[in-house]
Amino acid sequence: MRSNQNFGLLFSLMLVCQIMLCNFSPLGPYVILSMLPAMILCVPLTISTIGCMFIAFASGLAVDWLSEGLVGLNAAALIPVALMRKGIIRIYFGEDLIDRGDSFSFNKFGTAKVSAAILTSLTLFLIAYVILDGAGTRPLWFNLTCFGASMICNWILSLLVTHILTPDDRK
Amino acid sequence: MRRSNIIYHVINAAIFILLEVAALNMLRNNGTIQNVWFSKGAHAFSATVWGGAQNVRHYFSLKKRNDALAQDNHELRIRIAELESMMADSLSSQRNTSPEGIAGDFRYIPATIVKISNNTQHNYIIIGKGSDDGVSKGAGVITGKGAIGVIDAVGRKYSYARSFKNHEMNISARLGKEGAVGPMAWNGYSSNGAVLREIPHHVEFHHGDTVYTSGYSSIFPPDIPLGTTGDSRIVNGATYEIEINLFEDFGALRYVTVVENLGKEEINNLEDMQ
Repeated sequence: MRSNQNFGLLFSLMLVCQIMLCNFSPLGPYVILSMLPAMILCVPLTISTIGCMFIAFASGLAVDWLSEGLVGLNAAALIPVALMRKGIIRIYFGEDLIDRGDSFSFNKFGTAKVSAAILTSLTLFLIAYVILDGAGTRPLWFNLTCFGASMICNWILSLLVTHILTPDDRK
Repeated sequence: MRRSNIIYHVINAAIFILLEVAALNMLRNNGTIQNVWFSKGAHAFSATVWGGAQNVRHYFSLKKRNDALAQDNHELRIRIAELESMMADSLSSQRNTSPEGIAGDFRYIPATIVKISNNTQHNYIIIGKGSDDGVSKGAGVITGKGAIGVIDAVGRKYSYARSFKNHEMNISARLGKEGAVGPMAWNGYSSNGAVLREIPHHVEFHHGDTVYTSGYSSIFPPDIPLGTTGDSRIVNGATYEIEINLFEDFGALRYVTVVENLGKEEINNLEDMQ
């Protein structure tokens, strides 16, 4: 198993990338690009849910403060993902992984299972994000379009992020 | 083990709520639309909670309100009784100045009930007015809420009336003010129940329609409300038999009016001639 000693550095670099993405994203209002749900999902299981929620809160606030977004929006949408992180992992990768404190990877569980876990965390994040961002002022069709388009774009981006953040045993 | 798990989940939930509230509070302070949206939600929530609390408070104060209403009712009843007494005195004094006490074809004599029987199949009423006051045999006894009986025997100061709650009594009643007419009698067991018979089955009526005196009997004036219609059934395939809920509470009777049809003798003579 590859050590997670570089996780903090990689996570910080991803956070910087996310801030840049938020500041310079060429996409319109229909697409919300965010690597944060995948990053939270990849937080090592040795870190407790409480620790993960604090990481999510801090990461969300950092992105909100350092980009031109609403302060608290990313944090509010990301905390539920952190709360459900172990539950999602339990559903798709099994209880054993949590008991061992091991990490998931594409090699161990395959792209389908990892994608399913990513999509679940993205769903949680995007539902909260779209609702809080619109604050009841946007029509349903707009919210659904935004949700669908963001889901597709973020899924591809998150696969890449997960690939970078999760250790690969074969290496 | 299980207990520590529960504590762990509770702590997780508490921290989740804490962080989420903090994030949402920041969002509220930084976004105008979000601020309005959260305020609306908070108002709706507080209105629901406040409304629920008010309902609970109302529920627990019902006994107090009931007691207050009962006290109000009691005071109103006393006032009504006083007014009725004053009216009876006033009508008596009018009768003294105008001995006839006539209105239209009927003469009215206010009276108080001295004795009343309600618990047998042949009930009666004794009123505190007799031949000295102008009461005669065959006069009707009424109130504003119904026909009470018919005078059967008259003494100098008192009169004996057969109560409507008597098997031998029938009143000519009308369904509504323009409807069909039929005999109405006590149902024999209920304190406020009667039966209206011989209503042709083509006549339309509804549950709750008011029944009035018809004025055809030569005893009672027309249009005194008697009660409302209840369940009905067709008898012999030809007529309705309708249950009537009487307005008057015979158990609470105190003041009545004796009513005499001034043309009754002439009508009876005409009938006898045929």
